[in-house]
Amino acid sequence: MLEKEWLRLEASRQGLTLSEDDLDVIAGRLQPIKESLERTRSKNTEGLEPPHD
Amino acid sequence: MLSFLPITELAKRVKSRQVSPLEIVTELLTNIEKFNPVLNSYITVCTESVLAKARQAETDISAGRYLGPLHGLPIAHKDLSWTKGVRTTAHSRTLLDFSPDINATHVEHLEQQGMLLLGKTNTTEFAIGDMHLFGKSCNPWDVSRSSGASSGGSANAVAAGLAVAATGTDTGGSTRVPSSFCGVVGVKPTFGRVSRFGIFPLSFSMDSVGPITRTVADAALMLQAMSGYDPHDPTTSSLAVPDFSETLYQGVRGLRVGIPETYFYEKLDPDIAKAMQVALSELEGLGVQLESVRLPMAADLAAAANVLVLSEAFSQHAERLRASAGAYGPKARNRISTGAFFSSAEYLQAAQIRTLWMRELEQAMKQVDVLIIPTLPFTAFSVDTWENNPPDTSWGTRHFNMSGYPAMTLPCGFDHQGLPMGMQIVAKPFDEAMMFRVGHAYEQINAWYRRKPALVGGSNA
Repeated sequence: MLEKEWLRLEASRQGLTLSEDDLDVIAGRLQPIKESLERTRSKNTEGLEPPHD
Repeated sequence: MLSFLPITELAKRVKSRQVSPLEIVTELLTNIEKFNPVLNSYITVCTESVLAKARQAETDISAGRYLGPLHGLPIAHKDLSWTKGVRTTAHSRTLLDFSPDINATHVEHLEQQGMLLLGKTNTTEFAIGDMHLFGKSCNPWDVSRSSGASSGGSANAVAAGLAVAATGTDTGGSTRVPSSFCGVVGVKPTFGRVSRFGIFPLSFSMDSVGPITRTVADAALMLQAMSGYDPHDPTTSSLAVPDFSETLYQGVRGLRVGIPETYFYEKLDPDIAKAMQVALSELEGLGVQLESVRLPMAADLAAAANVLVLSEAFSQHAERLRASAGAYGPKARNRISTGAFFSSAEYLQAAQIRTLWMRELEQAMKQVDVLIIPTLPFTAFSVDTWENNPPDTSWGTRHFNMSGYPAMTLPCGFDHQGLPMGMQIVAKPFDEAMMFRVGHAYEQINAWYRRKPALVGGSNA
Protein backbone atom coordinates (compact mmCIF):
# COMPACT_ATOMS: atom_id res chain seq x y z
CA MET A 1 0.00 0.00 0.00
CA LEU A 2 1.24 3.47 -0.84
CA GLU A 3 2.15 5.37 2.26
CA LYS A 4 0.08 8.45 2.84
CA GLU A 5 3.13 10.26 4.12
CA TRP A 6 4.85 9.73 0.78
CA LEU A 7 1.82 11.15 -1.04
CA ARG A 8 1.72 14.11 1.32
CA LEU A 9 5.41 14.89 0.80
CA GLU A 10 5.22 14.37 -2.95
CA ALA A 11 2.19 16.66 -3.22
CA SER A 12 4.02 19.29 -1.22
CA ARG A 13 7.17 18.90 -3.34
CA GLN A 14 5.08 19.49 -6.47
CA GLY A 15 3.35 22.53 -4.99
CA LEU A 16 -0.09 20.91 -4.77
CA THR A 17 -2.49 21.84 -2.02
CA LEU A 18 -4.46 18.66 -1.39
CA SER A 19 -6.56 17.84 1.65
CA GLU A 20 -6.34 14.60 3.61
CA ASP A 21 -9.62 13.55 1.95
CA ASP A 22 -8.10 14.24 -1.46
CA LEU A 23 -5.04 12.16 -0.58
CA ASP A 24 -7.23 9.27 0.63
CA VAL A 25 -9.14 9.24 -2.66
CA ILE A 26 -5.95 9.48 -4.68
CA ALA A 27 -4.27 6.69 -2.72
CA GLY A 28 -7.28 4.45 -3.30
CA ARG A 29 -7.16 5.06 -7.02
CA LEU A 30 -3.39 5.04 -7.48
CA GLN A 31 -2.53 1.71 -5.90
CA PRO A 32 -4.69 -0.56 -8.10
CA ILE A 33 -3.56 1.24 -11.27
CA LYS A 34 0.12 0.84 -10.37
CA GLU A 35 -0.35 -2.85 -9.51
CA SER A 36 -2.34 -3.54 -12.65
CA LEU A 37 0.22 -1.73 -14.80
CA GLU A 38 3.02 -3.86 -13.42
CA ARG A 39 0.99 -7.05 -13.93
CA THR A 40 -0.02 -6.31 -17.52
CA ARG A 41 3.43 -5.07 -18.46
CA SER A 42 5.10 -8.22 -17.16
CA LYS A 43 2.58 -10.39 -18.97
CA ASN A 44 2.80 -8.61 -22.31
CA THR A 45 6.53 -7.97 -22.48
CA GLU A 46 7.61 -11.45 -21.49
CA GLY A 47 10.32 -12.60 -23.89
CA LEU A 48 10.65 -9.18 -25.51
CA GLU A 49 13.44 -8.00 -23.25
CA PRO A 50 16.79 -9.64 -22.52
CA PRO A 51 17.13 -11.14 -19.04
CA HIS A 52 18.45 -8.60 -16.56
CA ASP A 53 20.11 -11.10 -14.19
CA MET B 1 -40.83 18.00 -36.43
CA LEU B 2 -37.76 19.56 -38.03
CA SER B 3 -35.67 18.93 -34.94
CA PHE B 4 -35.73 15.16 -35.48
CA LEU B 5 -34.79 15.19 -39.16
CA PRO B 6 -31.27 14.22 -40.23
CA ILE B 7 -29.21 17.24 -41.26
CA THR B 8 -28.83 15.76 -44.76
CA GLU B 9 -32.62 16.07 -45.10
CA LEU B 10 -32.74 19.52 -43.53
CA ALA B 11 -29.99 20.64 -45.91
CA LYS B 12 -32.10 19.68 -48.94
CA ARG B 13 -35.08 21.59 -47.58
CA VAL B 14 -33.01 24.64 -46.71
CA LYS B 15 -31.34 24.68 -50.11
CA SER B 16 -34.67 24.42 -51.92
CA ARG B 17 -36.09 27.00 -49.50
CA GLN B 18 -38.87 24.70 -48.33
CA VAL B 19 -37.62 25.34 -44.82
CA SER B 20 -35.85 28.39 -43.47
CA PRO B 21 -32.98 28.31 -40.96
CA LEU B 22 -35.15 30.49 -38.75
CA GLU B 23 -37.86 27.83 -38.57
CA ILE B 24 -35.32 25.20 -37.52
CA VAL B 25 -33.70 27.43 -34.93
CA THR B 26 -37.05 28.56 -33.52
CA GLU B 27 -38.22 24.98 -33.08
CA LEU B 28 -34.98 24.00 -31.36
CA LEU B 29 -35.14 26.98 -29.01
CA THR B 30 -38.69 26.00 -28.09
CA ASN B 31 -37.55 22.45 -27.34
CA ILE B 32 -34.62 23.76 -25.30
CA GLU B 33 -36.87 26.01 -23.26
CA LYS B 34 -39.19 23.11 -22.52
CA PHE B 35 -36.75 20.27 -21.89
CA ASN B 36 -33.40 21.75 -20.92
CA PRO B 37 -34.52 22.23 -17.30
CA VAL B 38 -35.01 18.44 -17.16
CA LEU B 39 -32.17 17.22 -19.38
CA ASN B 40 -29.47 19.83 -18.58
CA SER B 41 -28.15 19.56 -22.10
CA TYR B 42 -26.90 23.13 -22.32
CA ILE B 43 -24.71 25.33 -20.17
CA THR B 44 -25.19 28.33 -22.45
CA VAL B 45 -27.87 28.92 -25.09
CA CYS B 46 -27.09 31.62 -27.65
CA THR B 47 -30.71 32.63 -28.20
CA GLU B 48 -30.35 36.14 -29.56
CA SER B 49 -27.25 35.57 -31.65
CA VAL B 50 -28.48 32.35 -33.24
CA LEU B 51 -31.79 33.98 -34.21
CA ALA B 52 -29.87 36.85 -35.81
CA LYS B 53 -27.55 34.44 -37.61
CA ALA B 54 -30.51 32.38 -38.84
CA ARG B 55 -32.12 35.49 -40.32
CA GLN B 56 -28.83 36.38 -42.01
CA ALA B 57 -28.45 32.84 -43.39
CA GLU B 58 -31.97 33.02 -44.75
CA THR B 59 -31.17 36.31 -46.48
CA ASP B 60 -27.92 34.93 -47.91
CA ILE B 61 -29.46 31.71 -49.19
CA SER B 62 -32.37 33.61 -50.74
CA ALA B 63 -29.86 35.86 -52.46
CA GLY B 64 -28.03 32.86 -53.94
CA ARG B 65 -25.09 32.96 -51.55
CA TYR B 66 -25.46 29.31 -50.56
CA LEU B 67 -22.36 27.94 -48.87
CA GLY B 68 -23.20 24.23 -48.99
CA PRO B 69 -25.15 21.58 -47.15
CA LEU B 70 -24.35 22.82 -43.64
CA HIS B 71 -25.41 26.40 -44.38
CA GLY B 72 -28.12 27.64 -42.06
CA LEU B 73 -28.08 24.58 -39.81
CA PRO B 74 -27.63 25.04 -36.06
CA ILE B 75 -24.79 23.35 -34.20
CA ALA B 76 -24.22 22.74 -30.50
CA HIS B 77 -20.62 22.57 -29.30
CA LYS B 78 -19.45 20.88 -26.15
CA ASP B 79 -18.47 23.55 -23.64
CA LEU B 80 -14.88 22.41 -23.85
CA SER B 81 -14.46 23.98 -27.31
CA TRP B 82 -13.52 27.63 -27.56
CA THR B 83 -16.20 29.78 -29.15
CA LYS B 84 -15.34 33.35 -30.00
CA GLY B 85 -17.19 35.81 -27.76
CA VAL B 86 -19.26 33.05 -26.16
CA ARG B 87 -18.60 31.85 -22.61
CA THR B 88 -16.60 28.61 -22.55
CA THR B 89 -16.56 27.14 -19.07
CA ALA B 90 -15.45 23.48 -19.35
CA HIS B 91 -18.00 23.19 -16.51
CA SER B 92 -15.37 24.58 -14.15
CA ARG B 93 -15.49 27.30 -11.55
CA THR B 94 -12.01 28.28 -12.74
CA LEU B 95 -13.46 29.40 -16.10
CA LEU B 96 -16.90 30.76 -15.31
CA ASP B 97 -16.18 34.10 -16.96
CA PHE B 98 -13.92 32.91 -19.75
CA SER B 99 -14.93 34.17 -23.17
CA PRO B 100 -12.33 33.26 -25.84
CA ASP B 101 -11.14 35.72 -28.47
CA ILE B 102 -11.01 32.99 -31.10
CA ASN B 103 -12.84 29.88 -32.19
CA ALA B 104 -11.42 26.39 -31.86
CA THR B 105 -10.39 25.24 -35.33
CA HIS B 106 -13.25 22.75 -35.71
CA VAL B 107 -15.73 25.42 -34.58
CA GLU B 108 -14.26 27.81 -37.12
CA HIS B 109 -14.46 25.21 -39.91
CA LEU B 110 -18.13 24.54 -39.24
CA GLU B 111 -18.86 28.26 -39.02
CA GLN B 112 -17.17 28.84 -42.36
CA GLN B 113 -19.52 26.23 -43.82
CA GLY B 114 -22.44 28.29 -42.53
CA MET B 115 -23.39 26.45 -39.36
CA LEU B 116 -24.98 28.57 -36.64
CA LEU B 117 -23.86 28.34 -33.02
CA LEU B 118 -26.94 27.33 -31.03
CA GLY B 119 -25.27 26.83 -27.67
CA LYS B 120 -22.66 25.17 -25.51
CA THR B 121 -23.45 21.74 -24.17
CA ASN B 122 -22.91 20.27 -20.76
CA THR B 123 -19.75 18.36 -19.98
CA THR B 124 -18.13 16.93 -16.91
CA GLU B 125 -15.57 19.38 -15.51
CA PHE B 126 -12.62 19.46 -17.92
CA ALA B 127 -14.03 16.19 -19.34
CA ILE B 128 -12.85 14.27 -16.28
CA GLY B 129 -14.71 15.56 -13.21
CA ASP B 130 -18.40 15.78 -12.49
CA MET B 131 -21.27 18.09 -13.41
CA HIS B 132 -21.50 20.05 -10.17
CA LEU B 133 -22.32 23.59 -11.36
CA PHE B 134 -24.90 23.43 -14.14
CA GLY B 135 -26.86 20.28 -13.30
CA LYS B 136 -26.28 16.75 -14.51
CA SER B 137 -27.18 15.94 -18.09
CA CYS B 138 -29.50 12.96 -17.95
CA ASN B 139 -30.78 10.40 -20.39
CA PRO B 140 -33.85 11.34 -22.44
CA TRP B 141 -34.90 7.67 -22.65
CA ASP B 142 -35.11 7.53 -18.83
CA VAL B 143 -34.26 10.69 -16.96
CA SER B 144 -33.21 8.77 -13.84
CA ARG B 145 -30.31 7.42 -15.88
CA SER B 146 -27.04 8.93 -16.99
CA SER B 147 -26.52 10.32 -20.47
CA GLY B 148 -22.90 9.17 -20.21
CA ALA B 149 -19.86 11.35 -20.03
CA SER B 150 -18.19 13.54 -20.78
CA SER B 151 -20.11 14.69 -23.90
CA GLY B 152 -23.45 13.83 -22.28
CA GLY B 153 -24.97 17.23 -23.02
CA SER B 154 -24.24 16.95 -26.75
CA ALA B 155 -25.56 13.40 -27.00
CA ASN B 156 -28.74 13.95 -25.02
CA ALA B 157 -29.44 17.18 -26.92
CA VAL B 158 -29.34 15.40 -30.27
CA ALA B 159 -31.33 12.42 -28.96
CA ALA B 160 -34.09 14.63 -27.54
CA GLY B 161 -34.37 17.08 -30.42
CA LEU B 162 -32.63 19.95 -28.60
CA ALA B 163 -30.00 19.99 -31.35
CA VAL B 164 -29.83 18.58 -34.86
CA ALA B 165 -26.07 18.07 -34.63
CA ALA B 166 -23.37 18.55 -32.03
CA THR B 167 -19.72 18.01 -31.34
CA GLY B 168 -18.08 16.01 -28.59
CA THR B 169 -14.58 15.23 -27.44
CA ASP B 170 -13.32 11.72 -26.84
CA THR B 171 -10.25 10.73 -24.82
CA GLY B 172 -11.35 7.27 -23.70
CA GLY B 173 -14.83 7.09 -25.20
CA SER B 174 -16.41 10.40 -24.22
CA THR B 175 -18.14 10.90 -27.56
CA ARG B 176 -19.02 7.26 -28.21
CA VAL B 177 -20.22 6.29 -24.73
CA PRO B 178 -22.85 9.06 -24.33
CA SER B 179 -23.87 8.56 -27.97
CA SER B 180 -24.44 4.87 -27.28
CA PHE B 181 -26.34 5.57 -24.04
CA CYS B 182 -28.57 8.10 -25.80
CA GLY B 183 -29.09 6.26 -29.10
CA VAL B 184 -27.27 8.55 -31.54
CA VAL B 185 -24.22 8.35 -33.78
CA GLY B 186 -20.86 9.42 -32.30
CA VAL B 187 -17.50 9.54 -34.07
CA LYS B 188 -13.93 9.47 -32.83
CA PRO B 189 -11.89 10.23 -35.94
CA THR B 190 -8.35 9.06 -36.64
CA PHE B 191 -5.77 10.83 -34.47
CA GLY B 192 -4.59 13.72 -36.64
CA ARG B 193 -7.70 13.96 -38.79
CA VAL B 194 -9.32 16.85 -36.88
CA SER B 195 -7.47 19.67 -35.17
CA ARG B 196 -7.70 19.86 -31.38
CA PHE B 197 -6.61 23.50 -31.35
CA GLY B 198 -8.95 25.48 -29.10
CA ILE B 199 -10.17 22.55 -27.03
CA PHE B 200 -9.25 22.40 -23.35
CA PRO B 201 -6.79 19.52 -23.43
CA LEU B 202 -7.03 16.45 -21.27
CA SER B 203 -4.59 14.05 -22.90
CA PHE B 204 -2.28 15.27 -25.63
CA SER B 205 -1.82 11.80 -27.09
CA MET B 206 -5.43 10.63 -26.92
CA ASP B 207 -7.83 13.59 -27.19
CA SER B 208 -10.04 13.83 -30.25
CA VAL B 209 -13.09 15.77 -31.35
CA GLY B 210 -15.87 14.48 -33.57
CA PRO B 211 -19.51 14.81 -34.57
CA ILE B 212 -22.57 13.57 -32.68
CA THR B 213 -25.51 13.22 -35.04
CA ARG B 214 -28.73 11.40 -35.76
CA THR B 215 -27.46 9.39 -38.76
CA VAL B 216 -24.22 8.08 -40.22
CA ALA B 217 -24.62 10.26 -43.32
CA ASP B 218 -24.93 13.30 -41.04
CA ALA B 219 -21.72 12.32 -39.26
CA ALA B 220 -19.90 11.92 -42.58
CA LEU B 221 -21.05 15.34 -43.70
CA MET B 222 -19.95 17.01 -40.49
CA LEU B 223 -16.63 15.23 -40.19
CA GLN B 224 -15.87 16.34 -43.74
CA ALA B 225 -16.15 19.96 -42.69
CA MET B 226 -14.25 19.50 -39.43
CA SER B 227 -11.23 17.67 -40.89
CA GLY B 228 -7.92 18.82 -42.31
CA TYR B 229 -4.46 20.05 -41.55
CA ASP B 230 -4.14 22.89 -39.07
CA PRO B 231 -0.84 24.71 -38.53
CA HIS B 232 -1.99 25.41 -34.95
CA ASP B 233 -2.12 21.70 -34.15
CA PRO B 234 1.15 19.92 -34.95
CA THR B 235 -0.54 16.52 -34.66
CA THR B 236 -2.88 17.11 -37.60
CA SER B 237 -2.20 15.25 -40.80
CA SER B 238 -1.60 16.89 -44.15
CA LEU B 239 -3.23 13.95 -45.93
CA ALA B 240 -6.03 15.01 -48.25
CA VAL B 241 -9.49 14.52 -46.77
CA PRO B 242 -11.55 12.24 -49.02
CA ASP B 243 -15.22 12.85 -49.72
CA PHE B 244 -16.79 10.73 -46.97
CA SER B 245 -20.29 11.02 -48.41
CA GLU B 246 -19.26 9.83 -51.89
CA THR B 247 -18.67 6.22 -50.86
CA LEU B 248 -21.61 5.89 -48.47
CA TYR B 249 -23.80 4.08 -50.98
CA GLN B 250 -21.25 1.60 -52.32
CA GLY B 251 -22.68 -1.22 -50.23
CA VAL B 252 -20.74 -3.77 -48.24
CA ARG B 253 -20.71 -6.89 -50.41
CA GLY B 254 -17.35 -8.61 -50.14
CA LEU B 255 -16.09 -6.50 -47.25
CA ARG B 256 -14.38 -8.35 -44.40
CA VAL B 257 -15.60 -7.65 -40.89
CA GLY B 258 -13.35 -8.64 -38.00
CA ILE B 259 -14.91 -10.18 -34.89
CA PRO B 260 -12.45 -10.40 -31.97
CA GLU B 261 -12.24 -13.90 -30.51
CA THR B 262 -11.90 -12.68 -26.93
CA TYR B 263 -12.90 -9.85 -24.59
CA PHE B 264 -15.23 -7.67 -26.68
CA TYR B 265 -18.00 -10.26 -26.95
CA GLU B 266 -17.65 -11.55 -23.39
CA LYS B 267 -19.78 -10.62 -20.37
CA LEU B 268 -22.35 -8.66 -22.37
CA ASP B 269 -25.86 -7.89 -21.18
CA PRO B 270 -27.98 -10.58 -22.86
CA ASP B 271 -29.96 -7.99 -24.87
CA ILE B 272 -26.72 -6.52 -26.23
CA ALA B 273 -25.31 -9.95 -27.08
CA LYS B 274 -28.49 -10.72 -28.99
CA ALA B 275 -28.58 -7.34 -30.75
CA MET B 276 -24.98 -7.79 -31.89
CA GLN B 277 -25.71 -11.28 -33.15
CA VAL B 278 -28.70 -9.98 -35.14
CA ALA B 279 -26.71 -7.03 -36.52
CA LEU B 280 -23.84 -9.24 -37.67
CA SER B 281 -26.27 -11.66 -39.25
CA GLU B 282 -27.97 -8.80 -41.10
CA LEU B 283 -24.62 -7.52 -42.33
CA GLU B 284 -23.80 -11.02 -43.52
CA GLY B 285 -27.08 -10.89 -45.40
CA LEU B 286 -25.79 -7.76 -47.13
CA GLY B 287 -22.71 -9.65 -48.25
CA VAL B 288 -19.99 -9.05 -45.68
CA GLN B 289 -17.69 -11.86 -44.60
CA LEU B 290 -17.19 -12.26 -40.87
CA GLU B 291 -13.69 -13.22 -39.81
CA SER B 292 -12.30 -14.02 -36.39
CA VAL B 293 -9.40 -11.86 -35.31
CA ARG B 294 -7.07 -12.25 -32.35
CA LEU B 295 -6.67 -9.31 -29.99
CA PRO B 296 -5.52 -10.89 -26.72
CA MET B 297 -4.15 -7.62 -25.31
CA ALA B 298 -7.55 -5.96 -25.44
CA ALA B 299 -8.28 -6.99 -21.85
CA ASP B 300 -5.02 -5.55 -20.55
CA LEU B 301 -5.18 -1.87 -21.46
CA ALA B 302 -7.09 -0.17 -18.65
CA ALA B 303 -4.13 0.53 -16.36
CA ALA B 304 -1.90 1.77 -19.18
CA ALA B 305 -4.67 4.04 -20.47
CA ASN B 306 -5.18 5.45 -16.98
CA VAL B 307 -1.48 6.15 -16.51
CA LEU B 308 -1.24 7.89 -19.89
CA VAL B 309 -4.40 9.97 -19.55
CA LEU B 310 -3.92 10.97 -15.91
CA SER B 311 -0.23 11.82 -16.35
CA GLU B 312 -0.98 13.90 -19.43
CA ALA B 313 -3.98 15.55 -17.75
CA PHE B 314 -1.79 16.54 -14.81
CA SER B 315 0.86 17.92 -17.14
CA GLN B 316 -1.80 20.11 -18.77
CA HIS B 317 -3.37 21.24 -15.50
CA ALA B 318 -0.36 21.42 -13.17
CA GLU B 319 0.00 25.19 -13.20
CA ARG B 320 -3.72 25.86 -12.77
CA LEU B 321 -3.97 23.25 -10.01
CA ARG B 322 -1.05 24.76 -8.11
CA ALA B 323 -2.65 28.18 -8.35
CA SER B 324 -6.25 27.27 -7.60
CA ALA B 325 -6.80 23.65 -6.63
CA GLY B 326 -9.72 24.68 -4.44
CA ALA B 327 -11.62 26.06 -7.41
CA TYR B 328 -11.77 22.62 -9.01
CA GLY B 329 -14.61 20.28 -8.11
CA PRO B 330 -13.38 17.40 -5.91
CA LYS B 331 -13.66 14.76 -8.62
CA ALA B 332 -11.70 16.70 -11.24
CA ARG B 333 -9.11 17.77 -8.66
CA ASN B 334 -8.57 14.24 -7.38
CA ARG B 335 -8.50 12.56 -10.74
CA ILE B 336 -6.17 15.05 -12.36
CA SER B 337 -3.91 15.21 -9.29
CA THR B 338 -3.56 11.42 -9.38
CA GLY B 339 -1.40 11.96 -12.45
CA ALA B 340 1.19 13.74 -10.30
CA PHE B 341 2.07 10.48 -8.54
CA PHE B 342 3.11 8.30 -11.45
CA SER B 343 6.80 8.06 -12.18
CA SER B 344 8.32 8.67 -15.59
CA ALA B 345 9.17 4.95 -15.63
CA GLU B 346 5.49 4.10 -15.19
CA TYR B 347 4.51 6.49 -17.96
CA LEU B 348 7.02 4.83 -20.27
CA GLN B 349 5.83 1.36 -19.28
CA ALA B 350 2.30 2.43 -20.22
CA ALA B 351 3.63 3.78 -23.51
CA GLN B 352 5.30 0.43 -24.12
CA ILE B 353 1.99 -1.39 -23.61
CA ARG B 354 0.39 1.03 -26.04
CA THR B 355 3.07 0.25 -28.66
CA LEU B 356 2.49 -3.47 -28.28
CA TRP B 357 -1.27 -3.01 -28.54
CA MET B 358 -0.88 -0.94 -31.69
CA ARG B 359 1.22 -3.66 -33.26
CA GLU B 360 -1.33 -6.31 -32.35
CA LEU B 361 -4.21 -4.23 -33.71
CA GLU B 362 -2.32 -3.45 -36.90
CA GLN B 363 -1.76 -7.16 -37.51
CA ALA B 364 -5.43 -7.96 -36.93
CA MET B 365 -6.60 -5.15 -39.19
CA LYS B 366 -4.49 -6.53 -42.07
CA GLN B 367 -7.04 -9.36 -42.28
CA VAL B 368 -10.17 -7.20 -42.41
CA ASP B 369 -11.70 -3.91 -43.52
CA VAL B 370 -13.36 -3.05 -40.21
CA LEU B 371 -13.88 -4.44 -36.74
CA ILE B 372 -17.37 -4.57 -35.30
CA ILE B 373 -17.83 -4.77 -31.54
CA PRO B 374 -20.36 -3.57 -28.97
CA THR B 375 -19.70 -0.02 -27.81
CA LEU B 376 -20.53 -0.98 -24.23
CA PRO B 377 -21.46 -4.23 -22.49
CA PHE B 378 -24.41 -2.53 -20.73
CA THR B 379 -27.00 0.18 -21.37
CA ALA B 380 -27.34 3.45 -19.46
CA PHE B 381 -27.24 3.10 -15.68
CA SER B 382 -28.59 5.44 -13.01
CA VAL B 383 -27.24 8.93 -12.41
CA ASP B 384 -26.44 7.83 -8.83
CA THR B 385 -24.34 4.94 -10.07
CA TRP B 386 -22.52 7.33 -12.36
CA GLU B 387 -21.76 9.61 -9.44
CA ASN B 388 -20.70 7.00 -6.94
CA ASN B 389 -19.39 3.80 -8.44
CA PRO B 390 -19.68 3.57 -12.21
CA PRO B 391 -18.65 0.43 -14.07
CA ASP B 392 -15.84 0.72 -16.61
CA THR B 393 -17.43 2.81 -19.37
CA SER B 394 -14.26 2.85 -21.48
CA TRP B 395 -14.47 -0.94 -21.61
CA GLY B 396 -14.67 -1.06 -25.42
CA THR B 397 -13.54 2.39 -26.46
CA ARG B 398 -10.15 3.27 -24.89
CA HIS B 399 -8.48 0.81 -27.25
CA PHE B 400 -8.92 3.13 -30.19
CA ASN B 401 -7.86 6.29 -28.40
CA MET B 402 -4.68 4.44 -27.50
CA SER B 403 -4.14 3.32 -31.08
CA GLY B 404 -5.48 6.45 -32.79
CA TYR B 405 -7.79 4.39 -35.03
CA PRO B 406 -11.15 5.85 -36.13
CA ALA B 407 -14.22 4.42 -34.42
CA MET B 408 -17.92 5.20 -34.53
CA THR B 409 -20.88 4.11 -32.46
CA LEU B 410 -24.33 3.84 -33.96
CA PRO B 411 -27.57 2.54 -32.48
CA CYS B 412 -28.22 -1.19 -32.94
CA GLY B 413 -31.51 -1.50 -31.08
CA PHE B 414 -33.16 -1.05 -27.70
CA ASP B 415 -33.02 -3.34 -24.69
CA HIS B 416 -36.03 -4.71 -22.78
CA GLN B 417 -36.15 -1.49 -20.73
CA GLY B 418 -36.38 0.65 -23.86
CA LEU B 419 -32.79 1.88 -23.57
CA PRO B 420 -30.58 2.29 -26.65
CA MET B 421 -27.72 -0.10 -27.41
CA GLY B 422 -24.69 0.86 -29.47
CA MET B 423 -22.55 -0.97 -32.02
CA GLN B 424 -19.00 0.21 -32.69
CA ILE B 425 -17.31 0.12 -36.08
CA VAL B 426 -13.54 0.54 -36.15
CA ALA B 427 -11.60 1.20 -39.36
CA LYS B 428 -7.96 1.53 -40.32
CA PRO B 429 -6.22 4.87 -39.78
CA PHE B 430 -7.60 7.59 -42.05
CA ASP B 431 -10.19 5.21 -43.49
CA GLU B 432 -13.25 6.82 -41.92
CA ALA B 433 -14.92 6.44 -45.33
CA MET B 434 -15.00 2.65 -44.81
CA MET B 435 -16.40 3.06 -41.30
CA PHE B 436 -19.18 5.31 -42.60
CA ARG B 437 -19.89 2.98 -45.54
CA VAL B 438 -20.47 -0.04 -43.29
CA GLY B 439 -22.47 1.97 -40.76
CA HIS B 440 -24.62 3.51 -43.44
CA ALA B 441 -25.39 0.12 -45.00
CA TYR B 442 -26.53 -1.17 -41.61
CA GLU B 443 -28.58 1.96 -40.98
CA GLN B 444 -30.43 1.54 -44.28
CA ILE B 445 -32.02 -1.66 -42.97
CA ASN B 446 -32.33 -0.53 -39.35
CA ALA B 447 -33.41 3.07 -39.06
CA TRP B 448 -33.28 3.16 -35.26
CA TYR B 449 -32.76 6.92 -35.48
CA ARG B 450 -36.43 7.35 -36.31
CA ARG B 451 -37.40 6.39 -32.78
CA LYS B 452 -37.92 9.31 -30.36
CA PRO B 453 -37.86 9.22 -26.56
CA ALA B 454 -41.30 9.22 -24.89
CA LEU B 455 -40.20 12.30 -22.93
CA VAL B 456 -40.34 14.38 -26.12
CA GLY B 457 -43.43 12.86 -27.66
CA GLY B 458 -42.08 9.56 -28.99
CA SER B 459 -42.18 6.06 -27.61
CA ASN B 460 -39.54 3.98 -25.86
CA ALA B 461 -41.21 0.75 -26.95
